[in-house]
Amino acid sequence: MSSNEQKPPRRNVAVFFYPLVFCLLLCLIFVYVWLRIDPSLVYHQTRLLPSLISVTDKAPADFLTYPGGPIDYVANALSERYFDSLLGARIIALLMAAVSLATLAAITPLGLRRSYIVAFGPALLLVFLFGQYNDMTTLALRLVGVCLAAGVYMRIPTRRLLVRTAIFLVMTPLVYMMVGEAYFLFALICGLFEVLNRRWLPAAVGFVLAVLVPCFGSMYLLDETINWLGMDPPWPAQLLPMFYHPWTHFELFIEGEYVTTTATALGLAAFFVLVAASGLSCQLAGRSQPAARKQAAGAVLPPRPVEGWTSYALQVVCLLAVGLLVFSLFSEVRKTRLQIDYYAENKMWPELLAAARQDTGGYDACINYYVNQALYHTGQLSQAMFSYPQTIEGVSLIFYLQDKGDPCPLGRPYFEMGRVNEAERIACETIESGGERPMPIRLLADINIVKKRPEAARIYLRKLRKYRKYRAQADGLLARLDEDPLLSSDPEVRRIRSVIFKRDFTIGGRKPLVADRWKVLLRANRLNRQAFEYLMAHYLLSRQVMDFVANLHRLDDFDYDGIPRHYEEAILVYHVMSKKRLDLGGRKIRPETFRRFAGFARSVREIKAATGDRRAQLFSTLARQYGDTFYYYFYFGPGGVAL
Amino acid sequence: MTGRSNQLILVCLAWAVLALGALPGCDDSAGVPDEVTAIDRSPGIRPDYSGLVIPPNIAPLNFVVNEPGRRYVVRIRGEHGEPLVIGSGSPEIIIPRDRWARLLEANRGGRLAFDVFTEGGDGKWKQFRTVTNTVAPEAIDPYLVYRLIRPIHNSWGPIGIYQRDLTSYDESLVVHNIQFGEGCVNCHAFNKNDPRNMILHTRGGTAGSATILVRDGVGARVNTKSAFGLTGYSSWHPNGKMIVCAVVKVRQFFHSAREEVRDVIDMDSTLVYYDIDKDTVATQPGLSRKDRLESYPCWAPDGRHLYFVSARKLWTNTDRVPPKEYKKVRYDLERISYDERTGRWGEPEMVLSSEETGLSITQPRISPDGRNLLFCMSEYGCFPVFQKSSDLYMMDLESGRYRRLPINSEETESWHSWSSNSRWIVFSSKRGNGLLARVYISHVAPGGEVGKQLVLPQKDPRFYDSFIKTYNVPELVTGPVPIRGKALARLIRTPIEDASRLPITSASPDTGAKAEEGAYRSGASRGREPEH
Repeated sequence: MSSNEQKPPRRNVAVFFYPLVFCLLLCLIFVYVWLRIDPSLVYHQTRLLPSLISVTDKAPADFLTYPGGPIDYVANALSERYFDSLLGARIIALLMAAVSLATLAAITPLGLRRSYIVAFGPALLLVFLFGQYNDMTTLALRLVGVCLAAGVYMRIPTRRLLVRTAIFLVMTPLVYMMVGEAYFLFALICGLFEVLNRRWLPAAVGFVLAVLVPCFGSMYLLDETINWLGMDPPWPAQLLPMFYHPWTHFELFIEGEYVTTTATALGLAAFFVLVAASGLSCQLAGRSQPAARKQAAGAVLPPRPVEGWTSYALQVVCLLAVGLLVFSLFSEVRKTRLQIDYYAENKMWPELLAAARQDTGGYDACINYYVNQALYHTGQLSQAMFSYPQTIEGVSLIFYLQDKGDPCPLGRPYFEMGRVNEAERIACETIESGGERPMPIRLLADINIVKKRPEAARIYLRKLRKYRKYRAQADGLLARLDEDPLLSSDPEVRRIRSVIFKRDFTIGGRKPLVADRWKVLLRANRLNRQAFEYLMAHYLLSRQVMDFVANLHRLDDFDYDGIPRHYEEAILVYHVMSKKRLDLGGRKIRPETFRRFAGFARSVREIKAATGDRRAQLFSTLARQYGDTFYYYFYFGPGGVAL
Repeated sequence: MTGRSNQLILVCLAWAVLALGALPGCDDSAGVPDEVTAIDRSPGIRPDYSGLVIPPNIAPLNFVVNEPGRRYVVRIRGEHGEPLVIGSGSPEIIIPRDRWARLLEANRGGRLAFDVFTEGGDGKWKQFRTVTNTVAPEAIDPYLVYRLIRPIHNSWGPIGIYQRDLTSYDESLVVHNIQFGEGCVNCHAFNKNDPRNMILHTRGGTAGSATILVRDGVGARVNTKSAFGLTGYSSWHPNGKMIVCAVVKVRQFFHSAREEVRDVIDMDSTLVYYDIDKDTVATQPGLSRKDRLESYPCWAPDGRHLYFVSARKLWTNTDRVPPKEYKKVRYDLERISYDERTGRWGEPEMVLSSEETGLSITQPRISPDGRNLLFCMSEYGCFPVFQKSSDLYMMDLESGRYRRLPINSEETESWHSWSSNSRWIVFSSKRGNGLLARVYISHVAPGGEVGKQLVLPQKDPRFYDSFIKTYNVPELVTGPVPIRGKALARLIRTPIEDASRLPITSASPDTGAKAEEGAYRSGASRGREPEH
């Protein structure tokens, strides 16, 4: 008290410093989450994973039946709004505010008033994890629940051991049911607090229950559902709060294409380090304040003396350092890859192509496939596909699927091309391998509409509308189905019905040629433009120039204005290879295509004649000038003919 | 003290409010409107619970009134007992369970009338024509065991076998595949509807293939070294000492243009019998003919005949899937005599030929009283659940006459089973949507007449509207399965070397359980490239 009286101005600083930092930090978090992370991508990522899916099958009352359910319910309700980036950013910022305030409520009785800034630690860590495109809403709310409950417990104004123990025991089921496995943290904090105050009985009860309650809870309360991958849970797993949530399948470690496991593992490790550090600092604070402990009325430790300007500056520096660390650990590559997936789902083709020009951290088959899909839908597949990196399976995904890749990307194009039964199979496989997700559910609805099974379509649409983002489109389609059950008036439905197989054949053990995927479609309907372009793209990517040429006559079935550029380039390659002129049926190769090819041939001759650095320089120029052509891909692309 | 107590009370109150908020908003103390305009047509209600014969012990048939209105009143009345009046601000009619049960009990064998009233926007009430149902005198077995699965193709995700208390809506897990490494779980079969005697098969996953035998409530994993490694469809001998199983080399393939994408063929199959006491497996010539595919065994209740189906094997190369002749495979219904005393088997005899019916006969199930045989017939093949043409037929075993049942729809009907008193059948049907099977219940009168089917009632009458799983192998049992959940999963995970490769006949497949076997491949094969 006396020190405060001696230095009133510093007390005033304390009054304004922390609220100011708090507000500034919240604003920064809001802007960072909104503009850099983009909550709509968090939403998209979450719906790519099965973790939240079982939530759509549950009624609100179901959430009251298992530990952690109430918070799961609230978390799901909140994260269902993340598809709106701005609203999502607001929610996440407010969530972080709640986490910080709750942390503050928990650390104050532990004697950490000197280091209020620590209260921002969990929020910053959560922001980091959001930046890994993990939906941390559940974890954040559990932390709030834990900290508030611990804060309430620590402020109990009695020192009687039995009473404190009894209150802890009464709080245990409530807290456990509210926050689930995070109860571990609550009991740990309470136990630490009691250790600091040398109240050994409630401390021991706290530590013991920290382990026993989540363990027995998951063994018995969750027995009817799913228990840690169905096995008897190993003890270490029980000791990790929120490591795996058996009921909702929530897991922090997510093996997925879009999530860096190392980053999340580091995040989790940091979390535990933080907890341990908090405990240690509490211990140290406790040891240095025996007198203060004695003076404590009830359980609350007295405030520490206010520190000088150096302390504030140090805290700000620490905060900035952590903030910069969070900022720098954000992966733009991961964001770009997620964006591509997001644009593909939402058929935002120009945006997809723009994103594909950014750093994607490696152009894999799946991205390649999406890019080609976007190119087709923007009318550029036969004109500009080699303006983007191409791989041999850029339109087929053979090896990607053989390596157990998510079959989802294949579903929509198959459907649009008329391979409706296979699209159905792929959509079902997608759900089986990755859980119920909006994208395959919507696809199944569309498939059933085309297959004239409106009631099955309705079932999938009603399922789809459980996801808030998709509610409006599902309701719209349901209303249209009520008016026209077969949607016969819909031009796209009519188009797909016109290209589907009319004659049934079986697809079994034998594996025919890849090109047959599109050839059988063209046999069913020669006007299937997408099948034609994919077939030709496949021939180009696999350098089957002869087969390509053999199918050029199909150009007459479509209304191309001349010959598409890549087809012209392939024809020129054919001329060189076969030394024959092809009858183009009145179509002509444009002069600029001839000129460019001649320039390419000259450059190649120059490269062949050059040596050393000059050769490398010329080669680099060649790639720059002709890298967007088929003939460059043919001679120098992946697996191409080396000089 | 008071501040903290208040906090706790507030928390409890919040929970109570949440719980109450989650309850459906029906008022069962509502009164029937005095002034009504009679509408001369039946009300639209969903599910279709009209003209039914319902079990006297079934859970309330909650439904949705498909009529516009701002308020709804439904009165359910019988000749006996206190009528039920339910008022609701929404079209969902939730019937209180206790009063429903009392009303059904009071009206066993009698009629139950449903009066539906709706209040329009102008405040005027309409009364529709009364919907009438009949309460059967005979109860249905109180539990139903079924498998819930999404429409799967090559790979599978969550698969669970569940049991449902038919007198309520309580559904509990028997076993879930995530409990044993995401294998496939299927083919649960009971002896005379007794849950204490069950056989269950799992395939794939980290636990490998397992056959679990529950006998008199005691479970064990059958040692595949001394017994069989792969069981398909099974049937218990009524004496409880023998189980006949189909051992099948089953393969799946797909259709490019047919409405049902999936199809299944048994490339080879045979029947084996497992002597439980001796823990041995054997077969005999009549069950494993070289030129025929035997499947779907079903013991007659007297234990003197085993009914089964068999088809001529039209191919020699069992590796080409599907064989060219797959559409020509039609199964006949046969039976073979068995002398329990001597253990002797007779010769197979034809019961119903596919030549006569022009259709393929599968899944024979005989009523426990031995009078009727219920079976499927479809255009071809062994797997009716993937055949839109599959319908249910009933044969009077005394006269040998059979007929197509009126409960069939344009979609697939299959996976049927009998109640222990022979008065009820359950079956799965894809009616209404063509893709996702639901369980239906029908009454079978002593004369063999089959009543209109009712869909398995759910607490939420809109449950099926967005339920994307399918029900299969619904089996009626007289009580809950005694070994389930973690205990059953532990049995499945019991490590036993599954090296058994039981030679059946030179023409029949071995029984070694490998990932490639079965209609579906192991979950490890997720994301396989669709051929073609």
